[in-house]
Amino acid sequence: MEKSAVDVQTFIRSVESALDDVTPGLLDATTRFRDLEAWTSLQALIVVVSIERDYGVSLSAEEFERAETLQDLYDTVLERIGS
Amino acid sequence: MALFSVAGLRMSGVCATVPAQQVRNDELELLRGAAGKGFDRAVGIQTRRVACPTICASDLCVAAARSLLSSSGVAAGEIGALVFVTQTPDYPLPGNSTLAQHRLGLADSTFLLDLSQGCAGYVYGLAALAGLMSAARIAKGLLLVGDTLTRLLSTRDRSTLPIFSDAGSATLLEAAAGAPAMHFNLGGEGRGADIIRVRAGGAREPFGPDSLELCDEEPHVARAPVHLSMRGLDVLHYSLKYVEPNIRELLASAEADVDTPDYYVFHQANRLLNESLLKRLGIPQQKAPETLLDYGNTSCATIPLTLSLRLGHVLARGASRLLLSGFGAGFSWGSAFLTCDAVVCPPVLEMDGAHGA
Repeated sequence: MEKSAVDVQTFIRSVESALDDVTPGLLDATTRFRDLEAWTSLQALIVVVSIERDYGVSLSAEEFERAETLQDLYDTVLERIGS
Repeated sequence: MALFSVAGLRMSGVCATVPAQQVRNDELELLRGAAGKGFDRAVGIQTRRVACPTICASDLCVAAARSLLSSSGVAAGEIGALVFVTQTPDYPLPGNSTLAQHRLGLADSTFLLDLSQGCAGYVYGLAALAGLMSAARIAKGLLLVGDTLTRLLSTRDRSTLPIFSDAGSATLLEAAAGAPAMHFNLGGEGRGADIIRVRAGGAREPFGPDSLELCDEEPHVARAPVHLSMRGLDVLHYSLKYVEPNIRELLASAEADVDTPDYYVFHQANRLLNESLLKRLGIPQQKAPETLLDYGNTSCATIPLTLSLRLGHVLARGASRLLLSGFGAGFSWGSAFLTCDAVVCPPVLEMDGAHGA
């Protein structure tokens, strides 16, 4: 996948749709996703799989855990696409 | 590289046993309300089988072996090798292979081998038995693969309790001149040893006064050192990283491609992981039978259980090319590519407490 094909808004919307109990538009780049009410380790699994499906990037647990906001997560994915 | 093939052997029978006791995940307090959100879709397990305290992996496997031997018309005395794969043996020592040998009435000259392997265990066991039979020119060998992993779970750990389930199996291999080669590709990455682990109870951290002390790891996850722990994100990452290349390499070495196998029988880990693997390999769902929903993750027994439950009628009838793939604790993984024909598949057995040893 081309780096330019992924913008942060599209990325956030795709995370949002993976977490199907999140109201669309609720999340933005500054969202600390672990603070979401329904967040558990299961949601982490769901998000990592959706990133793998949508962007072809399989994040390690370490990479995922380092990200605090959706912007961090987006940057990590972008870095991996670019490498 | 553990990429090799063994000629002159066929898989002639497979049988599985599950405990009669069923536990429904929707009855678990741990998954009530918000805590259970997304569980069905992500994990995809509704019902599990749980062995009562009198049933061990040895009991489940021995019952499957008895049924298989009698359905196959093979006498116990004809078995020249027995491999037992489990991570929940009856005792720390001796291993389950001698216990099973005695109960099945196998000859005292039988080659007995115990393997400690988790979810990759069926493929590892098949490869070990096939290699052994080929090298030692043994005509008939028995592979017993099973676990009662539910014994290792904390009832307060949402990351393991709703996932694991119990089952045992028996598989018969026989020498057959001219049979198509069985192909194997095995691997491991010990850096991932703590991804799926029971910390206490071995020699590194012997069972002691602290071994049963529950510790809150995160919300809905409390466990003691004797309990099984699993880091889901790491399991996912390691599986996606290693399993697909392992399968592609095996098929290429067998001069086959992804479309060649009639069926892919994957270890039944969780729905998201299994779906991702299918998608990565481009395998249609109908080529990959599942038992996850009704039987959960039975560790090393998922592959023979799925063969038995979902493909028994197909394998009994005519030639099928099977790709088997297991991955898990170790971290280890392995795949096998084999052609099966006229496989004896007795019905799956159910065992209640009265039938334990």
